[in-house]
Amino acid sequence: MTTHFTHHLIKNGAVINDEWLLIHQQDGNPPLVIADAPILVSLPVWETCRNQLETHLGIGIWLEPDNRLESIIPDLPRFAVIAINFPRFSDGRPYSLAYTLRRRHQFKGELRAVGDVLHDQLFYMSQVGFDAFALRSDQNPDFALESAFASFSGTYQRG
Amino acid sequence: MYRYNELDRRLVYERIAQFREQVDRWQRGELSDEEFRPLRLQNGLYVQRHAPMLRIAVPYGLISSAQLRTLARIGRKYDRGYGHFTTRHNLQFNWVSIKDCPDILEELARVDMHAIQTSGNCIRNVTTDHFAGVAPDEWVDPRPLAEILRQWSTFHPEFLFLPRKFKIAISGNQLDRAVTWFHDIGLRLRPGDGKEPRCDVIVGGGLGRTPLRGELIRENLPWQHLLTYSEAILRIFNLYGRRDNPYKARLKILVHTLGKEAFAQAVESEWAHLKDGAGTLSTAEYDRMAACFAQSAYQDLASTDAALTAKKASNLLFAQWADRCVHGHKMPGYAAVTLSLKTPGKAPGDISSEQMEAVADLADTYSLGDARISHHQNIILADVEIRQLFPLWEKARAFGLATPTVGLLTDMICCPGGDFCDLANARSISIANAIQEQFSDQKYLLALGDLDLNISGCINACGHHHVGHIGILGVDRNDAEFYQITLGGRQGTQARAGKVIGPSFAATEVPKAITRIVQVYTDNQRPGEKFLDTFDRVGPEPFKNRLYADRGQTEANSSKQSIPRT
Repeated sequence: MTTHFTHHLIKNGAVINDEWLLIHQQDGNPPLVIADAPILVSLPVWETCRNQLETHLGIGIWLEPDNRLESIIPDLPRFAVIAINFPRFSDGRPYSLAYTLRRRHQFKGELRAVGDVLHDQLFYMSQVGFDAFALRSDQNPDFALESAFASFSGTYQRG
Repeated sequence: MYRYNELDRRLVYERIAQFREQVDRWQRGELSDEEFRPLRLQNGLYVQRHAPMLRIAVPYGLISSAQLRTLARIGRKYDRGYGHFTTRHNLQFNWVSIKDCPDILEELARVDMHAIQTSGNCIRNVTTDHFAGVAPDEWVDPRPLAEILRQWSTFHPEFLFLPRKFKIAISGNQLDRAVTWFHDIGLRLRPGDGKEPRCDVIVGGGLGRTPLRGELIRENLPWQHLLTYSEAILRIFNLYGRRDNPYKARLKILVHTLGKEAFAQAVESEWAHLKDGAGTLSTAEYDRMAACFAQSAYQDLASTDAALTAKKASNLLFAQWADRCVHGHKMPGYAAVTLSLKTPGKAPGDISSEQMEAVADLADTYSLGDARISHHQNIILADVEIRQLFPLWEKARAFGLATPTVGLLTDMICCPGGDFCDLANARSISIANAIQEQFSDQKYLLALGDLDLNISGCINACGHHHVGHIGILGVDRNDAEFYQITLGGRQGTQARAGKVIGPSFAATEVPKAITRIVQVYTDNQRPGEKFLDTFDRVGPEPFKNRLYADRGQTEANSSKQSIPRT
């Protein structure tokens, strides 16, 4: 089963159309692959179906905060997008996953915050390496672009 | 003390602008209560029993006279003319209104103060020894690294939504006056080879519902690695700490569950990626910070003062005060002085606006313009010339700041309790006052000597009851206020939590229970023996027997039932 996203996706200082489709886990069955669209697959789907997805153009992975990164590190160059889900905006684990992917593993693709993504956390998300933000559908993208990414003009942290 | 640079100041003002806008959106209904909650908490704003409470940070307890005057003015203008110093060096205003908070924060910003991260599931205000920099037993002044930690932890983007709150304490002396064994991270500094500070890293300590002494996971960490090592601990906690149950979400539970060795191994593995990286501290940074705390205004003074000796001989009240409230200093002819906030009949830690201004004046006149807040909820003037002690005492006395009981039974640590706090199960201030009334004889108190009595109004243990020699914990028993007593807790290098002595007491029974405990001590005391030494020697049984002498045997033996389950 697939889901078309209905959220506002912010990237590079603009609201863009989200062309990616989310492929849900299907009880161990191979997913239905949409040939001409880029797809995001969950970690379990990736782990069971990676060979089948070998030739697909446009693969991204969808991570939950309790997913361990170890198993996907060798595959990072395959992913154009890594989406990390915030089940609740107050769940801070995606920040550490994002940091680790960007800084330690030098992930160069799109790092997308998905789920309970709210205006007031966008600055911190961008600080740890997220560069795409699938705003929760009730959030105002214009307001976010106007002010949320410039909360502070400097930081204390280095490196 | 540390003075803000342009970046510090700009960030604080930007924070106010951000918060003002968040308050506006919340008032317009664009932010839900749930979404606003962590935002307001990270700006120190609680919704409490009677009114919102604003908690203002006093980083590692250091405060200037100008800052005290600002707090005094805020107290008058926005509150009811007083504030409350907590066990974590913070000042709380209990009667502010939410809409005023951005304006209050703006007034604070003008004197380089803020309420950032004084609450919420983030890294809180770093605490330290109130005699830092002046204590004769100090190895390493912890303040430069405390300030470095303050900056690093402020708005750390990765660690603003931790599983639970996170407290760091740092000290560098022999006695450990910062309770480092009972913090999420406790840092003990000492001189390594070549005098370079080194750091013992303790993790997973904490009071609250499950009091656990921390585990030492790293000895002799060179100071350059303090931030990277802390980052490794925080990342492990952020990723693997429990988020399903707030009572199981503190670092102590993770350390306890994984075990010290496995947790230490996880931290070391994480740290291997960070060691010597961009977060490593340079000597230049350390020196720049250390220069902020170097005190150069000391004069060459004689280590004794004949006039002081004469005053002590001729004035008993002054001598009593000097005996309890004046402390040693590394510089000859100087002393540190405790201004007590434990006036009988007042809430421990409470301070009026008038008193804040008096402390500011005293700091300017007698102590190089600064003061410190201690976790015992008193104020310290750290750099007083001993030849000025008498006039200082006279002025402090006029403002009710010279109660001569520091370190004695009535110098209690006490949380605001059920009178103010939403979490409390029972009142604590009234218990403190009742005990002060019971023990009003200064001679008797002096004869009892050093005795820590700590009171918390609920199991969250803000009043540090676990580490009091005598601890009192308010519990709710069928909607009535009861008080459980623990004995044998202690701070310092041998810090540990006390043990519950038996079934809890009704409020009216508590002063009598404390009297009995003290009697068992004096009955069993060897000459000169301190309370804890007697307790350790004779054990809890004699105390238990006396406390429950007039209760049925069955009840006395049912003590385990009153220990809260974790």
